[in-house]
Amino acid sequence: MGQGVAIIGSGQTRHCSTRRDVNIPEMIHEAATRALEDAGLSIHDIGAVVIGNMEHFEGIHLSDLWALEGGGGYLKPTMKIATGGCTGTSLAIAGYYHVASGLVDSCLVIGWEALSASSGETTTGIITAFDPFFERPTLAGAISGLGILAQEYMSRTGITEAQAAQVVVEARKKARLNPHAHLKQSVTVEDVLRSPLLSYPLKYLDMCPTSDGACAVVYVSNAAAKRHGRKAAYIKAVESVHNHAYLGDAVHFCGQRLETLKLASERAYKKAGIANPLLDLDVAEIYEPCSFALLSWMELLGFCGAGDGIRLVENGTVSMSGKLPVNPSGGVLCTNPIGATGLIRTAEASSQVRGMAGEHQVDGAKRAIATGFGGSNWNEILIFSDTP
Amino acid sequence: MKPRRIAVIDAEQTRCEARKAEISYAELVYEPVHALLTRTGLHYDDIDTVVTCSSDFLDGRTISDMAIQEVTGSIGKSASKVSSDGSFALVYAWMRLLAGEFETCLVVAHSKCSEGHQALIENAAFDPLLQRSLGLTHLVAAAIQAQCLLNEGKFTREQFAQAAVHDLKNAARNPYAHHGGEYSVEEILASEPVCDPIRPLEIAPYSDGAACLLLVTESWLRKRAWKSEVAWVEGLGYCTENNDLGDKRLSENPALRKAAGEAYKMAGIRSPEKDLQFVEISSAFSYQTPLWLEEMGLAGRTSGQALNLSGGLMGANPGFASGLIRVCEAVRQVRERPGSRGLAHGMNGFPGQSHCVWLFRSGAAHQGDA
Repeated sequence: MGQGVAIIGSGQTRHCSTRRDVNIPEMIHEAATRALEDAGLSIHDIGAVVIGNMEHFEGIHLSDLWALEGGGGYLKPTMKIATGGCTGTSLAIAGYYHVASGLVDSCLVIGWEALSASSGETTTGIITAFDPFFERPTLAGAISGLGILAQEYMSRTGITEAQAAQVVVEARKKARLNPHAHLKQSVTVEDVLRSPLLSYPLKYLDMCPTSDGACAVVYVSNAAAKRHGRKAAYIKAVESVHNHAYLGDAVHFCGQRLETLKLASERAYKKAGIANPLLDLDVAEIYEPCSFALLSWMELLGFCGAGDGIRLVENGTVSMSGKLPVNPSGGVLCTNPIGATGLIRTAEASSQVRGMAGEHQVDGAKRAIATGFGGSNWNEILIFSDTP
Repeated sequence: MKPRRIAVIDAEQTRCEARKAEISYAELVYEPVHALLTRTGLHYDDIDTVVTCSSDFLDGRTISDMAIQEVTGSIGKSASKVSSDGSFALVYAWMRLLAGEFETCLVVAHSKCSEGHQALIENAAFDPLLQRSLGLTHLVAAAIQAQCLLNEGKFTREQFAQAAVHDLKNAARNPYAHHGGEYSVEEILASEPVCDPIRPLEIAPYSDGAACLLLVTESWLRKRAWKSEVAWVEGLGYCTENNDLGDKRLSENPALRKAAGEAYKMAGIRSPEKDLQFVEISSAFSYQTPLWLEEMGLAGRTSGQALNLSGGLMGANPGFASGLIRVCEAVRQVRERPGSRGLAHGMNGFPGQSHCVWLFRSGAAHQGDA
């Protein structure tokens, strides 16, 4: 059978809209060296490299083969993972299986996106994810799909646009304590409501940005983590579920038994021995591409009942001083280098458990959850603990 | 810690074509998956996890696996997508089974090269700042490497042509291939180079096609009392070298040498030229064959070792599926001769930046070592 796996280091670049000062291998090099430094290892200690981004958005084919030079992949076993928005968590999960398999005892996982490098554009790319005959003419990339899901949530729960806007206010507040976050400017509910409409009900400020940035995470076996003597985040569960190719099917699943985030979290909690997530988890890094998503997904994650996601925001449960701080990093709403975003959730959650989250550390965090989301209602989960 | 023994129980390919205009990606992949399930008597419920492989660029579809999720049985299950060659997808599949959580994994790879303008796609793989504007494509990069090999006196034009003649002849007999025939070294050498020194018949075609296989654990085979011969996984090595053409000695390939060496070590193979009965390698251009064989320690192979019975990439080269097809072929070949050993080689990047080497041995489904 396989071996236990732990994260002992991570690194990120300072995410922003455009990195003009580095090319992609150089940008990745920043994240990789920071991760190795955090882990107290050198690249020669690494058995394999797993890397990924959304090359189609960036306009660079076989992007990993160029980028790897900055990531220490030279003469190492390497592979590329790419699954859309959840690429980052798919990478994180692949890193887990690399070491769990026993084929290697250490693995460096790298995710990045740098749309500016080749005049890339996200929505142009995402539109091609949809069926060319039936969906592409009417869907505007990820935004319209998320807009439809938000409308479904609003009609089912009565949540208003103003309530959803509170999620953005909260996220920006938290991002100010995160040196890597892209968007840190404070916003008010009025700012969000007045921002340009993209796809009802999503306005400009309801949506995550696109950022240039990279993230790297170091995985080792439990035995190696113990020998290493540094504080580790042990991986207790990984899960991944998707359920549709056509957006019409996604709406059909909303609020139903087959909701992928619900399924994924139920399976992950069972593996990790989590009976009540609100009590048993200390911090959550949730992949929220838009404001409404965070509200409905906290419900699907079992933090509260249907329609009650907003209460967790309003009563401070998810604030830094609350019972279950959500997205101390500022989340995806503040930072979104697509290929890295899910990996950043992983890096942030594991850093919390390792006590290495700096100014946005949640005191005494022992158990953390990281989620990833992408097309085809693809939801992924990793759960970390400070003990093996 | 004793690793689980893992085997491929069956593999299926599509008949590749230059252009499968009338079918969608889902239909393309449904064909081999359905054939495999039918032949093995299995159902989607028997598949615990799925690893797919495709290229968003080649497909012209972002999250290219979305188009095929419904036919791979991955809905509601843990799955992922590798975006290197299909042979690398098998690596991740193997890891998922070795980790102990799953008993079976379906591996699927597909590409429809006809959907895109290949030269433009390939050009987009080169450094956007410094190299793209030179008009580099896989063909141009390959020609540069072939010329280096000739300049250094490592191989001759006759050897390049001979490798093409060999593969094209086998491809003509392969019902899954769409390109091949009987040619002579002389007629190839007499033809006009497309990109000096590479001749038209020395270039693998672009194809549309898909392949799949089912990877299972030994305990699953025992529980099912599986009867047919399987292909046991004996060894794996995979490795990537640097990217920039100007940064490396194009007349050698340390990544392949390392990958093959690790695979042989894992499988306990000391004399690959003698110990392997079947070899399926990925040469997108025929000049690569003598170089790959040399780096894999197979340069002195005897006639007793079958090379590219399928015709290799010369017969069909459906992008990211090509390496998985090499695996499917090696699996098929060793299963037809119980106890035999086979090598399957896949690669990614130009010209051969990243390599994956698999070793299989056929044997009974639930015994000890064959």
